[in-house]
Amino acid sequence: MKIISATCGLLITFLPCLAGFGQQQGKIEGVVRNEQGIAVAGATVKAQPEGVVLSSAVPQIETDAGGRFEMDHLPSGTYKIFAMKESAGYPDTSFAFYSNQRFPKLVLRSDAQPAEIVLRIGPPGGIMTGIVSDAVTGRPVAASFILRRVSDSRLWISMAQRSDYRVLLPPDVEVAVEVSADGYSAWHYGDSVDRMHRRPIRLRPGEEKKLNVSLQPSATKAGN
Amino acid sequence: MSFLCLLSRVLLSLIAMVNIGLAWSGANCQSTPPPGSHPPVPNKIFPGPSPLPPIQQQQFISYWTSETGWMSELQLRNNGPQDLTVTPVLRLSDGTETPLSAITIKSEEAASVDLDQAISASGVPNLVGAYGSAVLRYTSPTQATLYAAMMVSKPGHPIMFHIDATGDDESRQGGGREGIWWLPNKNADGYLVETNLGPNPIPLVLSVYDPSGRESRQMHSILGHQTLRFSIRSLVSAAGFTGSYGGIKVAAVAHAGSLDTVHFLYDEGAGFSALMKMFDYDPQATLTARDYARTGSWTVRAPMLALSVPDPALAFPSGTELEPLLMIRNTTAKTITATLRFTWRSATATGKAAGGSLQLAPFQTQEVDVAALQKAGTIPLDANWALVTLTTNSLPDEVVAVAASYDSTLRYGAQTPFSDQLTFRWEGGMWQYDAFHDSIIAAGNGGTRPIRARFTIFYDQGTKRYDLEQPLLPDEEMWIDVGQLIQQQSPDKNGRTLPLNLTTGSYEIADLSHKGAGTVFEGKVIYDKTYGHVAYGCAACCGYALTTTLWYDPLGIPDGSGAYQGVQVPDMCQGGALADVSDSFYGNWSVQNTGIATADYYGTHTGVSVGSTTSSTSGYINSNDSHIHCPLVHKTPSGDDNTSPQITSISPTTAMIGSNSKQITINGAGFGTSPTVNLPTGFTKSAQTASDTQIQITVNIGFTAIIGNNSISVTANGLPSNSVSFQVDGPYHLVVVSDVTGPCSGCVTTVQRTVEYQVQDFNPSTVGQWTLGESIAFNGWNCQQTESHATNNCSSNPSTTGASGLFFDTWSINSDAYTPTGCGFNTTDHWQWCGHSPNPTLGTLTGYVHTDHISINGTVSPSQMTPGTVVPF
Repeated sequence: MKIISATCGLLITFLPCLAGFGQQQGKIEGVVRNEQGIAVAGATVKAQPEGVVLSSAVPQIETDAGGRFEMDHLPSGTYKIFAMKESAGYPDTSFAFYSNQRFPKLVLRSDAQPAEIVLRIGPPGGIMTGIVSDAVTGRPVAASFILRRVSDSRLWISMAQRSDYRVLLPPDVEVAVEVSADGYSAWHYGDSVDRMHRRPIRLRPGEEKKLNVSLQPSATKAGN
Repeated sequence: MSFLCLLSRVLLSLIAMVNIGLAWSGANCQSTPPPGSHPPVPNKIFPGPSPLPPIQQQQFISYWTSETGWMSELQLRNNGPQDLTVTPVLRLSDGTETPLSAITIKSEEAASVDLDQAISASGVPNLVGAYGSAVLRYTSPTQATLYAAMMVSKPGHPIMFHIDATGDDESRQGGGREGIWWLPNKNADGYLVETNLGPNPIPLVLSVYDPSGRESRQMHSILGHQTLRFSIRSLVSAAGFTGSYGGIKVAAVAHAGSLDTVHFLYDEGAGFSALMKMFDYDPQATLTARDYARTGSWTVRAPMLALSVPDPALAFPSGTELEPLLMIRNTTAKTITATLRFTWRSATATGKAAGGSLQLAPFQTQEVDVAALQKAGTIPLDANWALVTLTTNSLPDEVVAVAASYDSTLRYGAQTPFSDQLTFRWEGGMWQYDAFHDSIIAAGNGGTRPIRARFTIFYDQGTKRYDLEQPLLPDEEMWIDVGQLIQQQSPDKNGRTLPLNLTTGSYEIADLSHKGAGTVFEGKVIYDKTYGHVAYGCAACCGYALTTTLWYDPLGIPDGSGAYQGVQVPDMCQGGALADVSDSFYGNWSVQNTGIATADYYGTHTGVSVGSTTSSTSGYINSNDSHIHCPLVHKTPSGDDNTSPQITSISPTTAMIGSNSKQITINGAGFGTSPTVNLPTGFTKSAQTASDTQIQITVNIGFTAIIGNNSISVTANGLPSNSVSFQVDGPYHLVVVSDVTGPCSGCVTTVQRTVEYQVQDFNPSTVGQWTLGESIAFNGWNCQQTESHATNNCSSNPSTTGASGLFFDTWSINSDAYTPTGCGFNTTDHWQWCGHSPNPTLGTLTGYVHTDHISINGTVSPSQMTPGTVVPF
């Protein structure tokens, strides 16, 4: 098994000590493969400890050129394992919106051999890009995107985006898209005014959709 | 310094010590500025803060009266930069004190207090129908912060007197007050008022003289704080004198500095009044201190003598003809020569006229008929005003003079007081302009060289100003009719005009050419059309404290370069604020060791070689004595000079923390052969070569260095150079890249918030891969279940960012198992760089993690931090 050098330029390693988690330490190693079984280099693998509240970096590492990864010194316990590579269309599946509650778990025991897993990611999501601007002035506007699965509105995600945005959508899933910014009325895909005419957007794996968004300045509130 | 120069300085010092008057020419070793040199430009701000502490101050006004038919008005002006609270205290003639209500005056504001009203408000019946003196008490770093005067008048009559405030000098023993008595008709009478400002009884000798100098004397004592009044006519009559004028003197052999006198005349029937100004006589006074124009002769001036044909602005009845005269008295037992000259002005012209010389026999008083000089053609008949200049071969105050211009009935007239005082600034009291009043103010140049003068009016409680500037030749005056400025809406030098409804304010006159020892004099008349009376008023001269210091002590002089040096001193009118008086010290700079540094005419020092020496200069400034006069004092401020090595450039100017064998080149002067390079924390030297002008040093920049701007300097021969900046680059702060919130995988209601940060270097154009840790504090856990949390600190689990400094930080309760909904904890998360000792914080995240919301640095999910936001330290 190849041991990833700690000085590797592409390495990201966050291996926290988990208070209240097992004090014994173990190791997870494996490979990330896409929907075609091809190893994915440069993917980020996160091992999110279960039953532990977080206010810090979770253990994470980047895969090497062969798609392999190795996380050492992990306290024993149960981990949710996620892999992502947003630049290639593979979103952060630590969010339920993307994982649809399907993700691997791993129980790490210190007395066992290193846990060897194969993480499958993909198919890639759809990619929505475009420009958010002021409908009156045309000025670029940084905005917040809220995406919601139509089939289960409890699965949502909210993210800050620059004016020239890039948002990943789970593939072949109908998603309601809302764009908002301070001082502007919220924009909904389909029709921002008539709720009945709002439509979801659905993209195929890897499909890229360009969509410019014009935000209407909200009416000034009357003073008290 | 040349031998001749040195010799002249020694002679000058000796002359100053024995109080012999001498023209100042020749006192200046570098009499002209060298070509190409220029005055120092201070990188100091003037006025600077006062180095003097606020203390209790007092001024005294020697006479007030509330007797039937009389009115007294106290006028105050705050010359200082802050509000001033003054408590007026009235002393009855026996010295009993009664404080009146305190009054607060804003900066540059003039205020007045009607004593009748103030006495009524005080509820002290003894003050009604009484007279005495007044004390003004206030807290300020300097006495001269306050200008004060009492206007004593007889309402319904053209009778008004202006009495200036003064100070008590308990250190001065011998001396007295000298004046001239005048009884211009058979009914005029008035008072000689003696006031003891201090607490000690003073034995006095009161003498009156006839014009020839024959003396009649009486002896009496005045108790502490007491005020005595004597009828002038009774004194003259008791002396057996029959003339209309002569001398008057009040002498003290002890506590003379506490004695003040006021002398005024009036005749209700004729509608006549005159203030007969008296002068301090101090046997210790020197010509050096009082020869303000530096002519070698003691000179006094009366700035506004009304001539035979009165200025129409005075609003006297048509055809009024004045009879201007001067009374000049020799107060000594020796013969004195006095020379007169006039600088006249008419409606259309100005000119000068010699007035001849007078030989004044011992104690003699002579009258000069200026009207006759006009009739004889010495001064044009149509001239309205004259500046009278009286030059003597005497010491100060050995000659006294009074000027008066009245018509033959004495009903209409005006006066102008003689004074020797020239200074750099005058703070004037109140001026008036309305349907019944106007004020004319004159500012003149009493020096021998042209100056630029500024006249300023302050109004709206001192908050607004109006400035006029004008060059003035010697003896020339700028003439300001305040009413005309308002009426004609004349713009000032900044284009501003005075409001048409403006009726009162204060004023200031300044010599813009001489900051240390000025040559301006001033005069003011206020005429009252109601009763046809003209009263004069005086401004207060401004002087400095005796504590002259150099701008910089020690002065750091870069080797081979120049450094400005100057002289500063507390300005007593400005509450002791430091003022730049360097101009009084030009031409007298010297450096002890010219192998180390030299100084030019203006005090600009040039470093010759690295080392320490001293330099000094000398000059005269207007001081401020306890009587609030402004005599010249000779000061010789000195200080240390350090000619230091100078760094002119350094290369490179930046390096990454952790760099090894970094070669730095330092260019400059004065390094010698074995300089010490003063390196920042974390730098270690591995090699160094040096010449006098260049150092090459090789350093390792360890991980204890301070990221950011550091300083490098050089020490040679024990003296440090200037510091130059050297930037150490490295991880510096966190910047938000993305901020995403949503239910965590495996959760339905519980959200997680993942923020991607980038570690940016101090130089934001560079990025790197860095080892990080967190110092996390948890508190406020309020879920029903017990908690486990993750930590990630430098000592046990250091972590490494991506090559571009990117990393994710996730906050979440991380399970739906925690109840009730909305429970959670508070946290503070310091992200630290583990590669440095001690670990510096790159950014601090403060907030809370609840099951359904997460707050980071005030942004509550689902709202997000904007990409590019810099995380605070």
